[in-house]
Amino acid sequence: MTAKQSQYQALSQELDKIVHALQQPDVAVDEAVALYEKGMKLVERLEKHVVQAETTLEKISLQFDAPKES
Amino acid sequence: MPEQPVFTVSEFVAVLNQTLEYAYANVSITGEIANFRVSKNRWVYFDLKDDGALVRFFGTVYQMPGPLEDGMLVTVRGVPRLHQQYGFSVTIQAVTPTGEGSIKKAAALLEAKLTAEGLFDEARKRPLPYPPRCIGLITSGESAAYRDFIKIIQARWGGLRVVHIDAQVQGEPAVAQIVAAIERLNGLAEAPEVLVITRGGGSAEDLQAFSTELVTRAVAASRIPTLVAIGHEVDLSLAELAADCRASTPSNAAELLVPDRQAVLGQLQAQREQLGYVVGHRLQIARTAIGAQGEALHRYAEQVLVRARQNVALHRQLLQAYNPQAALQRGYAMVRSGGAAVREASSVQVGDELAIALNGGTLTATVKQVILEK
Repeated sequence: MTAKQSQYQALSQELDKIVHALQQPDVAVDEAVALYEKGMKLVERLEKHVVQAETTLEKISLQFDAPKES
Repeated sequence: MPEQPVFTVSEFVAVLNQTLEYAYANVSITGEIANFRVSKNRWVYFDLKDDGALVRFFGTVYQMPGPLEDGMLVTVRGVPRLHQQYGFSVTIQAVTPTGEGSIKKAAALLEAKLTAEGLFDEARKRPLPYPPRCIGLITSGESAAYRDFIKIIQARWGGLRVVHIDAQVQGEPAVAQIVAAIERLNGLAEAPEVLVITRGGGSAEDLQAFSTELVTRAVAASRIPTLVAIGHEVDLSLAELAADCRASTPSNAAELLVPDRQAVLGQLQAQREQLGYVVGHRLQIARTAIGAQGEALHRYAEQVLVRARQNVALHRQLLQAYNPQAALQRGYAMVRSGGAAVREASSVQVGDELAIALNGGTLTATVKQVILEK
């Protein structure tokens, strides 16, 4: 596995962290509101990514050796 | 009648080989293996026979599809040749087990060998990235497998890069092409994160490339995690056993690789609601706390007022107790002489004019006598 993540994975993990942070009992109100706004923006970005991202298709041709005549 | 040439033995061998090369540069022969043996772990000798004849074959272990044994039905492609010392044989180029029984037997022998080497150990299996950013796809570009895989991948998910290598998945070239494709994708500068090797179902013969030693080892050796999906219902191919993950069909491979867009959108909606709920709950706690603080403030203020009122009343009582008018009401009198209060009897002389204040008024009097206490 490569260490680099897809944009979707990175955004999704960030959202999970925000929901987790928001659920902590000692989170301050100002912080909670800021986390909420950040979380909602992430949800929107993820939705956009899921709906709009396009898949690209590339083709590689191999020069296969023909059966050797000997 | 022209005179027939007379050859030396060496000349005859050379001429016959030339003739064979011209007429049968390459032959494929099907028969049952007999007298199979391997010399020095490298050289392979066997005969192919049927009811009427027997032909000798010679090759190296590298051309074998896997372990072979007597009694197996195979098709051998090779070059017929008369050796200078050892007589006629066919030099092997490729061996393919033929017929269901032989294919199964060959696969069973190879499976036992590769199992012993640990190629199929569960501990070797690596997780596939979910979802991957780039997929290497090895399958025939003309196949339904290719179309199904691409269709499902695109329907389920987006933002992917699919690098496809068109490789034959059956017939003799399949093994070399699949192996080359695996190596090529592993060698790319921007290598895919997962390799998908797939094809639809087929007969045991159609699928046998996936149970050859070369393909199985190439799958096991791939640095990129592998997903092998062969559409069939019975026995698994060895390539599937060696893969990090296997799927039942090309469509199933696509389903395993990426999440479903609609399901993810549903989860995102749930997360949106959760965020709203959690922040709403936090704000409600804050509002309740503020309300409680307000009530406490109100209570403290009232207590302070009550204490202040009590204090004022107490002072009023004290003040009243010290009011001289109250003493006059109780029958005491206040004596002044020349406007100043008289505190000592000795300070008054006979004949002095005094003003005596009583409750309700003042009397004026003249001192007739001063009697001092002894």
